[in-house]
Formats: sequence, C-alpha cells, structure tokens
Amino acid sequence: MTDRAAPVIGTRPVRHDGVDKVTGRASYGADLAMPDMLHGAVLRSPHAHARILSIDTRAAEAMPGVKAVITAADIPECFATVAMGELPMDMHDGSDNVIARTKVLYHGHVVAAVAATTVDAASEAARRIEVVYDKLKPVLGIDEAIAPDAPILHAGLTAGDWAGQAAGRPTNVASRMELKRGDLAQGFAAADTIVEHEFRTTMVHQGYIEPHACLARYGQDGRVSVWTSTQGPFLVRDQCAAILDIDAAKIKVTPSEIGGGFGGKIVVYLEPLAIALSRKANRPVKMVMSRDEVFRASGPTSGTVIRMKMGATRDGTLVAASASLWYEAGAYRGSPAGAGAMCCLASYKIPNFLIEAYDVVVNKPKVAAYRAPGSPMSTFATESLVDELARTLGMDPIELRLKNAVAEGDKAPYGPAYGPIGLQDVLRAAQRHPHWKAPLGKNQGRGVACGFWFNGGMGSSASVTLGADGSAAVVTGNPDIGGTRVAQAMMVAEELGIPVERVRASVADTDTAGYTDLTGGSRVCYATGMAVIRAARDVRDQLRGRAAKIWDVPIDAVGWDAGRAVPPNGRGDREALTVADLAAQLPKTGGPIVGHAALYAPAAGPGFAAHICDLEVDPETGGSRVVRYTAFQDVGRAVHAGYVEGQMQGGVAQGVGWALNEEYIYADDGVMQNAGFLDYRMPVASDLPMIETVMIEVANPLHPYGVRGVGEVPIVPPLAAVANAMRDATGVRFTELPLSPPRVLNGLEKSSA
Amino acid sequence: MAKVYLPADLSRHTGGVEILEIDAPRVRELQQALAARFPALAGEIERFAVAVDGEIYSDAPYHVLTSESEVYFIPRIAGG
Repeated sequence: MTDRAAPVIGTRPVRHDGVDKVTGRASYGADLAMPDMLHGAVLRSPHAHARILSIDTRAAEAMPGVKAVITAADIPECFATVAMGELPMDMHDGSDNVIARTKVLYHGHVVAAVAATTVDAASEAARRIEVVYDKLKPVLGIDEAIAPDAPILHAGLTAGDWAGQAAGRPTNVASRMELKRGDLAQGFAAADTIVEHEFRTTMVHQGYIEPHACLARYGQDGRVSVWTSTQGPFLVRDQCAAILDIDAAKIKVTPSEIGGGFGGKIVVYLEPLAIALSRKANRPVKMVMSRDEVFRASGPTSGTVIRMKMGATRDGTLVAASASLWYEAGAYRGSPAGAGAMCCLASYKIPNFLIEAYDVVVNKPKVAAYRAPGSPMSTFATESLVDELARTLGMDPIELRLKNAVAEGDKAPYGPAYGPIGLQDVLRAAQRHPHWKAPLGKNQGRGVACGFWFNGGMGSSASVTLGADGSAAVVTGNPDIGGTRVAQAMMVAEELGIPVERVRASVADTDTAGYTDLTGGSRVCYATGMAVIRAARDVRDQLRGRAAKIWDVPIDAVGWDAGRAVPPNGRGDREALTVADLAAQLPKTGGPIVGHAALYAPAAGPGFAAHICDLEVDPETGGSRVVRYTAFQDVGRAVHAGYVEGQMQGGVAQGVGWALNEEYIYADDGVMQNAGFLDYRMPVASDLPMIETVMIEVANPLHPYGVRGVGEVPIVPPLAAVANAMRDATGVRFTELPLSPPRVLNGLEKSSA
Repeated sequence: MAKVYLPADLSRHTGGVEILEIDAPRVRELQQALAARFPALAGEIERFAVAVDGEIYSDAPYHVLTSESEVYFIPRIAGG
C-alpha cells in the first residue's frame, strides 16, 4: 500500500466496479430473486391507435399458475405532478403510459398485466385476455400530425394562439416556444450569402444494453420494496407513489447495477405494474422487458423536421438565422423541442435570429430523454448549414466557426452571458491537430462540427465515513452510469490524502441515502461530486479537531497537509498525525467520524465540443465507414481521465450510429418493423476505428476542482460531422438521416443523373 | 433594482416588453411583482427556470437578489 502523496485528480486508477462487471458478479435489474417470487408479463396493444371498448380477463385469471391480473381499473386515475428534477412531470400522462385507460396510443402500449408462477404461464395468460378495440387511423409523423384532417390523439389538446393553428381547435401540436433576438429581416438583408434547407431525422433509441427490469414486493404491512435498474431511485419512488396513490415514505427503492440509461431509465414503465401485481397476488413480482418491448414501448427520442436558414456576410460573419423545429413527442406531449431550440445556435454570436419549436404528438412510444435531449437534431441542421456557408464563401470550416464562436461574456441564445467556456480553445485544438491536415484517400471525405449542452446541477447529498483503520467509505444515492463511484473515491482520496484503493464508494437505496436528484444531465461528477468533496472536507476538519484535542491546542492552530494533521509552528516536540494515526484513536478522542453534505448546485457550466470525422464511401453500394475520428471537448477538469475519454467515445459511437444507420422503420399500420438489434443497426466495435479524444480543460468556476459535465456534449456533433464528411466525399448534401446505404446510393444516383 | 430579461414566450404577455427593472429582495417577490404588473404572467412565470447573475436554477424562489442582479427567465430543459 503506497503512502498517498501525489495528487489523485486527473489520474486513472483501476475502476472499483471493474472486477464485478467483467466476471459477471455485478447484479443488474434482472439478477435478483426472492422466495415465492412470481413473474409478470404484459399484454400490449396490437394497434397504434384505438379506443379500448372492453377488457375481459376471466380466461387469463382461470389459467393454472396465474395469481393476479390487472388493468387500468386496478389503478386510480392520477392527477399528480412529480418534480423530476429539472422539469415537473404530469403523472396523468405518465400513469396512462404505464397502462392505458381508455385509448391505446401506440403499438405496444400496455393494456393489462399478469403475474404467474412462471414467465411462460404469465405470457400465455396475457394472450388469453380478450380486448375489444375500436381501431382508429394512426398518425405516424410530423407531416401527418399537422395535416388539416389529421386524426387527433387527445380530445382535450387544443391549439394555443399560434400562427397557422386556429386557437381552441383540437390539435396534435401540444406546444410552441420561441426564441428571438434583433431584427431578422434586417439581418438577412445584410447577408451576402444565405443558405437554407429542410432537415429530417427519425426516431432512434438510446440502445442501452440492459433492458428494463425490476422486482417488487408489496408487504402485508403496506411497505413496498422495489429493486430496479434506474437512473433515479428517488424518482422511481415518487412516480410509483403518485401513480398508485401510495405514501412515498412506504416505498423503498434499491437501484441495481445499471447497464446503460442515457436518459431512457428515468421514467417508470414496469415498476408500478410489478407493485400493483404484487399487491394483488401478495407475493413478490419480477418483470423483465424483452429487447422487442424495449424498442416498441420504452422511450426513444424524437424524429424531427427542421427548416433552417442562415445568412453571412462575405467575410464569414454570421448575421441572421431562422429555424422552425418540429419534434415528435410520441403518444403524449413532452419532446425536447425547446432544448433543441436553445442549443442550435448556442455556439455562435448571431445578432438576429428567430427560432420556433413545436411539440407534436404522434402514435409512437412516448419519447424519453436521450443524451443531450433535443440538441443533436437541431445541431445537425446548424452545422450542416455552417458547412455550406464555408463552402460558398471559400473559407476553412474551422476558421469560419472560430470567427463566430462564442466566448466568455457573450450572450447565450436563451439569454444570460456565458461564464468561462472552451469553444474557441476546442476549435483551435482541432485546427492544430494533425488529423485536420492529414491526407485523405479515394472516396474519403472529412467533416467538422461543433456541439453544445447546458449540463445540469440540482440537489445532491453525500456522506463519508472514516474507518478505524484510516480507510473511508463514501455513500450517495446516484446510480453509477459513467464511472462516478471511482470519481467519488478519488475525490475523497484527494481531500483526505489517503490512497484511492482505501476508499470504497457505494450507491445506497432511498431509505439509507440522503436525497439526491437523478443520475443524468451530466450532473453527478459535478453536483454530487461537490457534495462528496464537502463531506470529505467535513471529515478532514473533524480530524483536525481530534488532533487539536490530542495536542491540547485550538483547532485553528492545526494545519493540514497531504493527509496529515500538522502541529502549530514551533512545536517541534509534536509529530504530524496521519489519517491512520487519528483514526486509530477515534474512540478516545470523541467517537466515530462521519462527514455530511447536502446542497443544491446551479446548472453546471456549459460544455462545448468539436469533432473531426473522416468517412469513406463506397459509391457502388452507398455503404460507408468512419476511418478516423477525433473528438475535442472542454471537460472543465477531468477527475478520472479514462472515464472522461470513455464518455467522449461513447457519445461519438451513439452519434455515428444515429447518423449512419439507426432509424425506427414503421409500416403504415404503425407497427415497428425492426425492433431488434439485427435490423436496428447500432455500431459495434468492428464498425468504428479507435476514437481519439483530446480533452481541453477550462475550469468551471462553480466547482472546487473546475469540473464540468461531460457525458452529453459528445453525442451532439457527430450527426453533422458525419454528414459534412459525406458531403466532402460525395459532393452531395444529404439533409435526411440516417445516411444508410440505400439513401446514399439513391442520392448519388440522383446527383449524377 | 434587478434587471430582468423576459424571453419571447413571456414577453407576449407583456405587450412586447422584454427588459425591465424591478425592485425585489428575492426571486419570489420578483415573480409576484411581474405578475402584479402584467396579470397574464401569473401562473406562467413560475414555469420558467431562472438565471441570476449567470447561475441557472430550475426553481429558486428564495434566491436573494441585489440591486445589481441580472435575472433571465429561461425555459426549463431536462438532461438525459
């Protein structure tokens, strides 16, 4: 065991959870079993849009092994709102999404659920439930949803006072928001060059490798235990309490190890069903989604239609931009159109703009957050147009971006001035990097794009306990989706001056952890990390107090240096005391030491990235592959450098998949045709080269180490970086994603015709 | 007096007024003063996040303001 002297932050210790994960010992959502456990299965709607006329469960209830069957009749109608951290969530919609009450709004929408002694018995029984539907015409895209004669999903949804919509009329447009600055007409009048396109992206899924899974036990005393794969155990508790009308104080949620979330494991799907079944059957109930169910009935992200126009003067100054963003919300309102609007121009100083964003319901699964929700799609449009402007003006694409890039003191499109930010540093690093000037081969093209995300703050708690042997334990309530346990251990090691191997980091349940907002929004290393640092400093200060007691001096006279309490000046008769020395004397000096912190952090300090992508295109098949990719990002301060690089690479991989192959393919009846990884084609390791990462550190002044959120920004640039590389390789500007082989081939053939 | 900036979705309720000065000790009193001046803002303004001197909070009614504070109301967004 080495004596800790060197700084820990910025190093790459072996991850604390690594051995369990690679040996299969880690326990995920589907890995827990309880005595007397039942298995739950779900009956899902075969129609994308229909009224439910009747449900007859008698045949299912009579089947051997069946212990409970539920429908929406078993759950009270919910009118609550749950504070989901950044946004309040209307649980009426959330509850109806968990199990349909009067209408089914997408293929796969839950209609009933069964608990039985085996999975097969439960599935067979679910198939015996008889449902009579009145089929309705489904609405499967933005164009259909806003057509004058469109079928209406929600009778109570009426238009606001928006251009083109008669106020008060039933509509599928749930909301409109607007951002503006300056004088748009004047801005475009001053432009020497104007570019304009309509861009389209489809619904895509986060693709987490672990499906949703949970185990719920409703006790005879009314106390509920839930084991589940989730990004937010406190949110699971509060959503289930609202949906089932149970006192939240009676629900304990234990988060399992989580195999990916990316925003898709914030809203509940199975947990309320499992609890309701357990209540009825008086036995624990386990439910696990199949991959097919994950695609059809969890929360992918919006397909979009974006019309955008940008104008620049001949020296490359951006002078005006306008955009109309239409985002699919899925079956219930609530797409990230607003965030898309706020992000799309965030990288540039543009004096005149008007952005409008529309939230549109369609007969597809309700969309959920997906890593920088809303930003990748609108940034695809912006960065494609900036690329076009660079070509038209004959300017280097990075030089054009640098000319207009925001810096500290510039106003964000949504209002306030930026603090210290790293976009210009990131662009200069890209410009200086050998990748930018490396020669390209035949049929290869190069694209560059920037991206932005806000990064969240919110509330976190942490406690740090000191052991009698001088080791430490840190506990929070944040599931670890990005390596935050090892980052927290590193923070405690840094503050206390002990080796990081001597710090254990755990994720606790909702009864034992202090309240914490979800794991998401790139907030845990920043906000929960801030709480961990404060809790560790609390321990350190208590240790100084113990040293003061031993030395019989005031605490203010005790210094602290690299894990040692240091005696006052001139007291050469006293040796410095290490953490281990002090820990060994805890009972004599005042008892156990536990450090606490709880705080609410402001939003974290935004993140910017720039990516360079080299793409090789086969003109005969339309197939393409990424041959080189370099991601540059302002990471604030990298606590565990390897994990930050991992976040950058992971975001790139997802963005490349989104750009090149991933799409929800629907038949006219609203049934997804490719609900599996064979036909919903995500990149695998053999599809991608090693993604190089370059971390730039512009310290975030809101955090003691300068940490900035890093997890979401890296998914933002790839859509346009890839599309711009495709333009460079083929001469064709593609404005619709994905750039799958058939689409590319079609585009190449049209262009040469 | 805190300087207050309203986005388009709120300034449509103020007859187009986007920038104004309000004397208020905390964000809550600022929201109340705005609603008193522009009744259509009541019920709307609380749905927005607020940035006070560059720090963004989803919901911070008790955040203290100074006479030099800059306050932006911005739409709430969620991460993933």
